[in-house]
Amino acid sequence: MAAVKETVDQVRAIDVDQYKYGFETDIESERARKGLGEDVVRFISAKKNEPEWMLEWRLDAYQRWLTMEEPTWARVNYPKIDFQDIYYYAAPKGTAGPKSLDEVDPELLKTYEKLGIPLREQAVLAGVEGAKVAVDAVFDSVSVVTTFREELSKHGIIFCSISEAMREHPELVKKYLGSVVPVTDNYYATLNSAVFSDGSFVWIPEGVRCPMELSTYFRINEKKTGQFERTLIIAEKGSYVSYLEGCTAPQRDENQLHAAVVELVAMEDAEIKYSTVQNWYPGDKDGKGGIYNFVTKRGDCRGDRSKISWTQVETGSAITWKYPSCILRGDDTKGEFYSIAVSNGRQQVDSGTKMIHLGKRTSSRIISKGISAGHSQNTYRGQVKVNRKAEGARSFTNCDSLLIGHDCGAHTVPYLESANPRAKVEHEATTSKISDDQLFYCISRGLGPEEAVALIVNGFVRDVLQQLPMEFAVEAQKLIGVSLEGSVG
Amino acid sequence: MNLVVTPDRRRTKAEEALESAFRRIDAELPDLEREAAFARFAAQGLPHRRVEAYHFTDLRSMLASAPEPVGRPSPEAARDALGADVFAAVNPARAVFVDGWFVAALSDLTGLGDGVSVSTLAAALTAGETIDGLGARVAPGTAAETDPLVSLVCAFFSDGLVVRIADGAALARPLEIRHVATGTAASVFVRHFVEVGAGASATILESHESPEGSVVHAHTLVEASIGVKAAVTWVDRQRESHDGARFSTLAVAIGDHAKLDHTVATLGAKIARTQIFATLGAHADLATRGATLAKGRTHADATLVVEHTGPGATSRELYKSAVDDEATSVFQGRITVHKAAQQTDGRMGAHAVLLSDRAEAKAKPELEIFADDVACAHGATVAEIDETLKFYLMSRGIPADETERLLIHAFLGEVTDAIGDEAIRTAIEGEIDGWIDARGKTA
Repeated sequence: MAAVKETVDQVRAIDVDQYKYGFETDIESERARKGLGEDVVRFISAKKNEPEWMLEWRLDAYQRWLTMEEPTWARVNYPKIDFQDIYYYAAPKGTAGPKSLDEVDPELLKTYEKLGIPLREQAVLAGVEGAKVAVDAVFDSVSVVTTFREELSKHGIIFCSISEAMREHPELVKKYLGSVVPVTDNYYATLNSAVFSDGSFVWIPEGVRCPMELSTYFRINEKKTGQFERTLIIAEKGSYVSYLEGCTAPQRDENQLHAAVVELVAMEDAEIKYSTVQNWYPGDKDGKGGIYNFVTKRGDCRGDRSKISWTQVETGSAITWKYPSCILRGDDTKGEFYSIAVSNGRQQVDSGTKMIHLGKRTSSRIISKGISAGHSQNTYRGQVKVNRKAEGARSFTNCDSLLIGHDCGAHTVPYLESANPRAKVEHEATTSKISDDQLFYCISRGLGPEEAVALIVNGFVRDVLQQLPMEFAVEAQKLIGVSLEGSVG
Repeated sequence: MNLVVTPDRRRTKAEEALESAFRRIDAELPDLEREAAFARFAAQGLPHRRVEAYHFTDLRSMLASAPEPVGRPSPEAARDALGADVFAAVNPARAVFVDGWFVAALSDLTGLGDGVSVSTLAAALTAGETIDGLGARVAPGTAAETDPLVSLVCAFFSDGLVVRIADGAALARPLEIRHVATGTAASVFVRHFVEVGAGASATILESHESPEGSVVHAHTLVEASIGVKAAVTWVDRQRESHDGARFSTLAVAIGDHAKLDHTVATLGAKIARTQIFATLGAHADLATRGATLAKGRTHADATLVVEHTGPGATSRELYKSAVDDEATSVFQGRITVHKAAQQTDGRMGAHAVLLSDRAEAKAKPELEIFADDVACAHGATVAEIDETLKFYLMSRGIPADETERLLIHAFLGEVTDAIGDEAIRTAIEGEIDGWIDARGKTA
């Protein structure tokens, strides 16, 4: 109840289409030339001091990208992207490998303070005693700081930026990079493979339960830059890790591109929990500006009995094109997808998941809650595919959509394919508006209309919020309240 | 010929066959639209998996060839083509088409009641009517208009039926539009128009069959409009040769406060695609149900596009399939609720039961909603026959194969039970039970 009150307060405190993270930080930065070409790929690779094999990998991806076509099947509309009008690399100056936080530009630290991200290791989240979150912060194209590394290394855990991992653990990177999302998987993944500048790398050794939440915070600051980060998480046999990801960007009139790739690998009995709170700048209420969020996220349950769980709260971005997926390769593996997608203003969301059942007795569970308000379009698109050999596979999908207002749209596009008679695949979906009865009930008890909506919406998304780590759940709940601001009345 | 052929793609054998057939058809019926329709088809060619509406039914790779259309059959051949009379007990009026040609000698169009006129499309067009004047049309700009199978019928049709029921009139007895084939390998294209006036009522039966072993590609397009407050019952049964193909499209506009109760049973064809494009006016009521039974190495696709354009309309879709051997069943259903269609109540269910290890089922139930005050839901399931139910029946002494028969019958019963007319229901149930009984008996 307290959290709901908070949401309501938050809603009240902020005006319509006020994006809280819309500030811009004035930091000197170093950029690659504008546009894309082989020279830019070489430039990025050289900047990162990458080994030769990595450069070749990138160039190969670039050549393949040139032959590919932009996908158009998603239910989103946007003007054609000029890929030559984007800076593919921007790094805050003087942050090439800071030894400690003291070497980091104080402006940058302030940025993160404003964002509420605890980069100082002593910072413990208010109200949650003893909770620790290790953070890898990615600013434009590079990782600026990774916290709690020493403590993590005591457990043998590697948590660093991916450029660092390439230099220090090339055998791991070489083995896993591109093994879940192949270089030519799709247009944006291939682009990412060519120009990705940084991201996080996590390796959890056999049998280790990661003692704290790992987290990455992404921020696009520079004008006309695209952010192309790459995250790679490997959980060895019997290990466990919970990983959080958050994103923000300054408020600008132009559209910026974010095309990330996330790859997860879970070995036997391992479990990866990946949570995202996506709050990129969504554009103003007339649809000007905002981030194009074209992301490829995929997890591979490679070992038997492994589990990958995706939880996402999508409130930002002008356009979202994102399908966190699980390949259930091992026997008895589990894939989960919990999603809340809130769209308002002129936002367009086309998001969902893919569950590919390959192993025996694999199971998947999909819970998706879409809320559309304003003039937004919100689409759930999900695929469940049961291979012929997936004896006894189970899949359950539930997607509910809620419409607030007359000008928005909510769409559900599930694809179910089963080729094994011993598999059970179920799907259910509903679309409705907030019922007048529910609103009347709340209002008759003294809540204002907006408070009532926030209360009902929070109830609607509860199933998913419960899956988030607690600190994130609170933030997510606030975000949902803020995103829906102005949608009633 | 203003054919548009995409230069960067090699045409398939089936596409080449269709094109050469089109250049050679000596259509008896005048229609200036044929060229335009074929150009529409040729521009995109046969649809493939990257065309979203045909994602699960890749005709470009499935159709190895397309047989030539054939001419009018001899009276003897036409008579021999008639098989068992499934709807005998219903005693309907009848229009019989053999290989796509109307055969008056086999038809009985008497006793239809006042205000009902039935003629062939050939007669209507020869009498100076135009396609545009026939009233019921595939609405421009809709998914149906650009559908390649619809374009093919518009380009090739040999004949069809024009049924008009005046305002307030009632069809005195059910009308069966029966399609049979002599067995000659042929592509057959038939185009019907049905116009039901305001407050009118009608029961229409469609029947499609071809002799087992024959290679007939049967295409039909029905364009229907149902007037304000009219009520129509429509039952379609399809039992084509397991070596043939069946492509049927029903494009129907359901007027304000009008009602359509539609059932389709698909029991044959190597490749079957049944498409329904329905547009609902204010407070219209659509119920459509399908039973698909697929065996051997066949592919059966049921595709629905339901558009709610006016407020307060209700739609209920229930499609069930029993899939045996190496067959594949596909269900694609889309409910679109336009902005004006507040208080829409839409519900769609798609369920498949897999009866063998190599059977496959694919489903894509879609909701597309632009109005906020709606209650829409869909559900889909794919599984085998419930073991606990089997166990229950077997523990009561019922043999295993009988148990399966009972359970498949019960599973599909939900589709047939809703047919109001007992004689029609019994006829369809008989077809389904025949299919179930034949399971396992033929390889």
